[in-house]
Amino acid sequence: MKFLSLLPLLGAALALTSCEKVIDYELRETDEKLVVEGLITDQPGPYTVRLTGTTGYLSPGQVPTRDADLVTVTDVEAGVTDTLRRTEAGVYQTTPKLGVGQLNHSYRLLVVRGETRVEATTRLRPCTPIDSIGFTYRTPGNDLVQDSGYYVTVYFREPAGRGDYYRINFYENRAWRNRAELFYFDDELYDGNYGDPEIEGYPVQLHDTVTIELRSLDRPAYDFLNGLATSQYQGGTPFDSPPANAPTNLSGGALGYFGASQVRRVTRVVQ
Amino acid sequence: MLSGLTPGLSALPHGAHAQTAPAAAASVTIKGHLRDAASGEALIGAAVGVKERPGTGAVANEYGFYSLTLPAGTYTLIVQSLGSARQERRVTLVAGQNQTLDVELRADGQQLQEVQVTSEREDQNVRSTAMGTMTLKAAELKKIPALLGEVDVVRAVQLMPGVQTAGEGTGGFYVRGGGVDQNLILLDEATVYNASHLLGFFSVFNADAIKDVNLIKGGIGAEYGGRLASVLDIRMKDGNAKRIAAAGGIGTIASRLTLEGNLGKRGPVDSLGNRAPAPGSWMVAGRRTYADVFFKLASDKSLRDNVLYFYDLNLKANYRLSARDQLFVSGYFGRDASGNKTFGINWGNATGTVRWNHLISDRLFSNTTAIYSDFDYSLGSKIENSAFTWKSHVRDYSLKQDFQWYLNPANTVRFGAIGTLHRFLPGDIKPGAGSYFNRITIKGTDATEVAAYIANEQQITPRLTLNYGLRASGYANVGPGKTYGYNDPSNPDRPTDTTEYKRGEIIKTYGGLEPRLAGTYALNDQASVKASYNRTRQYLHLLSNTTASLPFDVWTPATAVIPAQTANQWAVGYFRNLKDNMFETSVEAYYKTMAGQIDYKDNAQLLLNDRVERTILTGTGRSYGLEFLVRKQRGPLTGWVSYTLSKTERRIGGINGGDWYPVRYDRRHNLAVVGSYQLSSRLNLGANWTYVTGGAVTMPVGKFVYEGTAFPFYSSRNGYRLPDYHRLDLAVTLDDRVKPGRKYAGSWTLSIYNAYNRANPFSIYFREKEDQPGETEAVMTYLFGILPSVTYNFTF
Repeated sequence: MKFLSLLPLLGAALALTSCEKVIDYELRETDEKLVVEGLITDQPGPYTVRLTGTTGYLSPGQVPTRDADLVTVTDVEAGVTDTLRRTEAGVYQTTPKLGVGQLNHSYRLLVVRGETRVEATTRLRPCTPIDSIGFTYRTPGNDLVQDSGYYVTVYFREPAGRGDYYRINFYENRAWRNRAELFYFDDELYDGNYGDPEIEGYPVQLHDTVTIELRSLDRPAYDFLNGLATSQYQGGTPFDSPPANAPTNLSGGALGYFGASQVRRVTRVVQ
Repeated sequence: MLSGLTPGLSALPHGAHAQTAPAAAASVTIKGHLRDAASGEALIGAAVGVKERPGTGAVANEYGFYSLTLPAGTYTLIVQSLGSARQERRVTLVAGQNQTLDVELRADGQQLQEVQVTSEREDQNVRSTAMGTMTLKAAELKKIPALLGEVDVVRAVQLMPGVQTAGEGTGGFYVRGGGVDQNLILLDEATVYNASHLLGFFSVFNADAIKDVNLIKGGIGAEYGGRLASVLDIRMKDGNAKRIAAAGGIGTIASRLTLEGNLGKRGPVDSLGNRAPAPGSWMVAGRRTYADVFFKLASDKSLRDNVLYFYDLNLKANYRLSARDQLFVSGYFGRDASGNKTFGINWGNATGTVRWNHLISDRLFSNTTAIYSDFDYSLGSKIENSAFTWKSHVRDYSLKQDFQWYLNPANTVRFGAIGTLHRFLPGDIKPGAGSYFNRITIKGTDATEVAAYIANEQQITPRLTLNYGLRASGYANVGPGKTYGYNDPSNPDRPTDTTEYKRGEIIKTYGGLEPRLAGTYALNDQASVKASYNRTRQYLHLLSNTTASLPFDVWTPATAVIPAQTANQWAVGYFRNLKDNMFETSVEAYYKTMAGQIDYKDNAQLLLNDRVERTILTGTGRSYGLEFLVRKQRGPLTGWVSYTLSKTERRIGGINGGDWYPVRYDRRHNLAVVGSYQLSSRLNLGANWTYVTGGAVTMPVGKFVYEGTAFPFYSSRNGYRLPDYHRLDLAVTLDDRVKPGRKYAGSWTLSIYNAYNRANPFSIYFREKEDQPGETEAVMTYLFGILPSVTYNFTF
């Protein structure tokens, strides 16, 4: 995946000469949309579905929470439908009725809010285990890094056969470090081989506790994350593809995503 | 242009009487080459008129060749070319004895060191059927203020009416609503696939190696094909056939050197001191940037390891094998490289052309051309465990045969054929030793393209001239390759069946007729109305999801899924010259429809995608506009003012809800003022000013939060505009004092890019205000503030 960082390198010529200034720019606002966020995993529940609304792009402050008349999750294979409990404004949790997420089961979400009916189906795919994680000390002088520190490499055996998609979440001392920068990839490069992606841009220090989560995705979830990441980095420059909304699996004009993942986790202290 | 040019004369005035010869009189053909007296360079477009027969004449072709058939008799031929002193030659044509008359024209009122090869009949603008065209001579090009002193063909083209850019820092140009890949860019007849250096800041054409640049955006002749929107026909200099000469320059970012000279023995010197040209000549021109030389001096180690340069090398030679045969060989090699210790990327074009001019008869001119063109890029990483090299290319092999048949003064017929084999390698990634990467090869299919054309330019009455032609083109996408069927409703991207094609096996064919019509009706000696219609077809697409001129752009042939493109363009125009052809003015209106236009599914991945057709959406486009041009090519003040009012949209299913949307380079208003003023014999001032409506962009219309992070969601496609773009550039050129008997001449040019330091938008993005978290502000980035540079140019 490192070649993806070539573009900025090439753009360095531009960066050398480019300048910035704050301008007044008027953006029209559209009607509010319902945003749904939910994830079923193979880890013990309960699982949460969050509902929020959108705001104008330049509007200050938080997005509003939104309540629904009904939120259900169905385990399609088990034939179980669970009605989620509202635990606080905009937050709905599964009950023990649904049980723990099962590999290769499909899950169906239904959200009813007034006239709006939002549905989505997702599949909990198995995820290859992490073998180990390693740390490599890098300095700006010797490597293509900005800051000195230990850089985390994740080792795993990628199962043969194309069509596997992954996401990595990276925690340093229990804090989720890459909240604002999604790490996701497909098996194009590693298919059937040993995978060794390095977490770029997030050096850790000696004695830090590092947790890496490797999560399985299905293709629509990969496309969604890819769309999110693309929209996040839109600078409106000629290097960008035309901005587009992340392709959701939700119906009814909602934004967000309802997904399912097996979660693999390794924790190690840097020493 | 300099003062003291040819006094105003209405070239080739045409009376109302019939001018063609009665069939009974024995006709005699006089033919030859028109050349510049100083260098022996062919004068493209120079004119031969007959004093005794107003309205009769011939125009020199791309090789300076003319042929004129007249009844036997004695005539005075007027040979002229704008910027040269006209010559009159008395000839007696005897029945049964065809004649050869080569004429050399001396640049008129010019300083010796500035051999300005200008041509064109003075009222060509009004008289010819050509519309939607604009020719720039190298000398004119060099007077336009240049970014960092690098004279640039594409930047000059961007100042012409009907031509848009996608903004500063993007390469390429957009002609009458066509995409950047819809321009046929020819360098000595070889297609140049990527005309950009350094992300589009500079173009690949070294102005020192160029004779002239002709942009055709409407009424495209039948001899051109393969691209939808325009032809940018760039001719390299032939080289000086009379003596060894050199020209060069030392600039702020690059230096240039051109050497040229005669091939074979030079001819004798006549009584006027004119030396007859050698049978051949050669030219070598090189240019290289040297920013990386300064990197080496940097104290910062990471900067010191950086590589960033480009170079161009133009080579050309020609030799007259016999009175009827002339051979031309030309080549171009250019490359960009950038990178550092761990990453590297380089890309470039290589083209080669071999041309053989042969006179089959005094009236039938033949040119046979073999063309090779290659564009490739490669990039690589040297980082342990993930080292790789990535290569990609597109290659063309063409054979072309063109004939020009000077049937009689009223009819010039052009016909010919071309065949091209296109080869594509979209991507081949080889892992380095010890790398865990898999090898990825995206094999491209081949494509063959053939076309034949015939066109006649006929003077029907002294006032009415028509150029009617037909081009027939055929195309086959051939194996080796695979096609996929997609019949899985649950996963429409999963191929359900695969068809394998062997080498040479036809996968898909396209083809059709391309009528080309143009006519001009002279209202009087100084004004005409013109109209044209042309259909063009294109069988290649440039897949690019961005507007920047990135070398990673993927060229793809039309396939079973990706359609061929067609365009229909209608144009009308009114042309009028004022003050003895001192001013050329024109107004043109065009309407163009385009089919087989492509765009991409949202968030499409184009690189290394072996089923890239799954990301492509197809639809139609339309463009219409009004273009005004006032141009002055004589006198101390020269230049032009162009204004374009236009609109370009696309409608593609799956984008913008299937509604029409503006393309990024849709710009309502585009005004360019280009001027050059010869203040004294040594001092020239140049200026250009442009004002363009901001490009169309897509902007966020709201935000939502996912996993605690805010993300934007977007408007209709290109529903917003960047702020308007305007810029003034200035240049001052001071020539050395002329010293008699000295060949060496130098000049200093000071250019100032963006003279009033306008912050022109490169992009707009949004960020959280630093002092007020939660508040978002719009930030505009811009590339160049005021940017002065100095260049020293020399010739000897």
